[in-house]
Amino acid sequence: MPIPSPRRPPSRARLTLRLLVSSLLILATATTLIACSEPERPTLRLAINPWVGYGFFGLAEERGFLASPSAPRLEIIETTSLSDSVRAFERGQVDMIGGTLAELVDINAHGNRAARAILVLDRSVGGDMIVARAGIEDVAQLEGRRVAFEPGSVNALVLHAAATQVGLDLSRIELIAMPQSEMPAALADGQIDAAVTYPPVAQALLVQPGAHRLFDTRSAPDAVIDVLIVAADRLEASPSALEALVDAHDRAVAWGRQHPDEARTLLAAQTGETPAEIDSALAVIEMLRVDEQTAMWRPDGPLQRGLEGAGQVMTLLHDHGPSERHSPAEMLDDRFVNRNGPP
Amino acid sequence: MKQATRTSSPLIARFLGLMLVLAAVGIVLVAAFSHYEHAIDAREEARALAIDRALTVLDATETAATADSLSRFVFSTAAQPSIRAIALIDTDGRVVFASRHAWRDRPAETLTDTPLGPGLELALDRRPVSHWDERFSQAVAVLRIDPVNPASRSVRELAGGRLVLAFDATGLLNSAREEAWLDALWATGIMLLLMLTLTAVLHRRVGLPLQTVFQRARHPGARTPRQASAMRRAPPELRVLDDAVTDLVATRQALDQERKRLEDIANTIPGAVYEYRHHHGPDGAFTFVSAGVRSLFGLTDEEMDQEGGATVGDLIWQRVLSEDHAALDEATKLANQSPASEWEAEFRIRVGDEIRWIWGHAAPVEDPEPGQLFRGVMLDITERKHLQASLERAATHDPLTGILNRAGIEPLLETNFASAIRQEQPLAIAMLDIDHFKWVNDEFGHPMGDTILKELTESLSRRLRGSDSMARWGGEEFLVLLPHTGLDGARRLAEKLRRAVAAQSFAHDHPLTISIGVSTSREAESLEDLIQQADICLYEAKQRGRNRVVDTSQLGEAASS
Repeated sequence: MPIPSPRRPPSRARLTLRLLVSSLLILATATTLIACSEPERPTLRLAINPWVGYGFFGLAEERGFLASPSAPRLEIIETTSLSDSVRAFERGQVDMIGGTLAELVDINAHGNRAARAILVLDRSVGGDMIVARAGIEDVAQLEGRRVAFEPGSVNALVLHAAATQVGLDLSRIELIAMPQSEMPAALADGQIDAAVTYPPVAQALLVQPGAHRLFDTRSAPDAVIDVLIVAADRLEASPSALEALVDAHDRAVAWGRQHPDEARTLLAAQTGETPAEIDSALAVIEMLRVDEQTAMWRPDGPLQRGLEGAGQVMTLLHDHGPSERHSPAEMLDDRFVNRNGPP
Repeated sequence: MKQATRTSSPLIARFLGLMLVLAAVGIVLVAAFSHYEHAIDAREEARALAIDRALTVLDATETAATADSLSRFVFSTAAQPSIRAIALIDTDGRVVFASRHAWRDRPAETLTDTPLGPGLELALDRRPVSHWDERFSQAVAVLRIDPVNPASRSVRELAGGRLVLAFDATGLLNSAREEAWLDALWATGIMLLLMLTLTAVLHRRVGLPLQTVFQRARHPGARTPRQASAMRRAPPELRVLDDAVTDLVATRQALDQERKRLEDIANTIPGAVYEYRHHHGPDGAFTFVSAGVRSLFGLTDEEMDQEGGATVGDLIWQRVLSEDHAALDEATKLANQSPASEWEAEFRIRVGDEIRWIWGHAAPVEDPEPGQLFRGVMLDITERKHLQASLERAATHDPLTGILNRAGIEPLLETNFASAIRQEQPLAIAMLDIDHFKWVNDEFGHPMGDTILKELTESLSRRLRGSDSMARWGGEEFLVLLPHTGLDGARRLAEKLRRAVAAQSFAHDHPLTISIGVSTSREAESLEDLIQQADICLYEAKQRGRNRVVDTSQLGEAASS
């Protein structure tokens, strides 16, 4: 039946609207796809030098402790020395390094990139030492001698601890800045009389005729503590990834205690050293699990004190002094260690 | 009505849908091609960068003072996020320097599972070689170490060896993907713009006019101002189409009206108008019946509207009395003999408890379809039939007594006499007359006379046999036809009738007698002769003193006596 329709024909505006809505849907889909194409697991780059105390990250990766979806993809960048690790960190090439409190102070003092320690990896119980050539039998005899050390490193802490014990003024020693890797050759060539060092370079020094251990951290408890140093921006961007990383490292340390032989083999394969060298290196450090280090994070604990001491040494060694001073508390972040609140 | 509310043209909607699909396909294709192209570029770039970085490391081998410093340089360079691994391998295949401590001093073939793996298999050339490794998303550069005058002794030992550098291309590939999406977004924007423009033009020039034509095809009438303005912008083809649709709709409306008028005419005609297509065999069918067929045949709406139920033809046929089926079939057969002729039939139908007479008349119509088409009418002739029957009865029956009159019995007499002669069977007739009936009329009046006539007729009828017929021949004279009856039989029956009447008491409470003359076909030369002889015998019976039976055999006796 021909009955006139009361409805008006669709206006052009309505058709255009329809078209726009469809197009917006297409755009939204495209945007979503772009968003989805971003990797879900963040990548964390960790620089470590050949030090057995830092080897448990590689062990955690090897054992599959980082396979959970919340865990980051860990890229381990090997360096020759701690100073190379610091350099890579300051250049932004890595997000984290394994280092001592000295490196932490150094990095923050340079002001290129803020960093914080989030986990204690190990503490030195004889691992850091001063090796001297024959004839030097006492720390006090270092006066006027050429002592090699790596500036901005734990060497300064060790040197400071040793000198303080015998009341020797550091300015009376001829300090020669040198990377660890070059110390054995320098000692052999007679360029230096002593070197502040740690394994594995320490072994290479000690095998030289006449070379002997003049001082080590057994007599200076908590002088040298290795920590995981993380860029402050990374700390804010990927807290859950870091949490997973801390957990994985803790599991690796626990597994290493239960399976010392396997752990030794894995650590040796990673560093290219012999199992015997790994054993001797492990003998002079103490790996710490998360629940064993909570006391260290207290305001009066060794971490705070160590950072203060490192700051003092730095002021002493550098004419100009550190360009920036950070309070020790600013450089520590205990949220991953004290996950249930401060102890 | 549901369709009438949908006014947008489906064609335009489909066209827009198709455009959107095409646009989406276009965007996806742009994204895919762009990604493909950018990925190729990214790989090329990664290979070039891998060679650049490898050359930098190679330069360092020339200038490094010691093996340790070169090692440091290798590690520092590998700390760059884009560099995955570096190894310097001597001619014996031993890894001398590497970006991992664990790889050093090992045979190169143990590193095949590392990112350096692909670089170990590449053949060395004077010029740098690079390879794309899909497994690790990296480019691997391989250089031949040819130190000219190296500062370090250990480097000199590397001469002829290879430098392998793995360049991480993940970042470049990610950028390539982002570039592809950016291209897709651009394409989306351009497509949108194109589609909007095209849609606007199409909508104005084609969509709206087409929609107007579409609406006018559904709802004809005068053009609204909006429709008129839409058609002004339309291309000439659509304007012509619009005119054609307008004409078509007007024609359709006129046809509808004409059809309705014809249908009204057919429906208002008394009786039923119909069209019937006859096929040889049982499957003839009504192709049209006017509304009158319902009242004519008492068809209910349920019967007519029942889906898959009986056809109109079946329903009509069911109502025709079975005794008339044969006559109808015969009429149909006759009409369909070639050439087809008019069909005419009268038949009875049962509607409820009522029997109706129907008269049907149809004429054959020439048409190309198979079967023979008839168009005709059917009328209810029950009234006419009843009138006809009563007229026929009035002509052949005596209105007072209800028995046949002279005209009514004459055909019977003729047929019976003829067959009696032909079959040489006896036939008798008896002529009766009431004795002294004039006296009854005079004494008791004519109404009493009529009553007595009726009483007598009933009494006589009861005593006749089934094959006998009786008619009122004159005023008080009756003729009884007795087929297959000889003279003796007729005489005995006549005697029985006479005695019965004489013994009966009538309304006037006086005795009543009849005189009877009997004749047979044996002695008669004709029917008239037979009747005349009976008449003579009756006269003789009257003469002999009434209340008696005289047959033809007794005529001679009387003459002789």
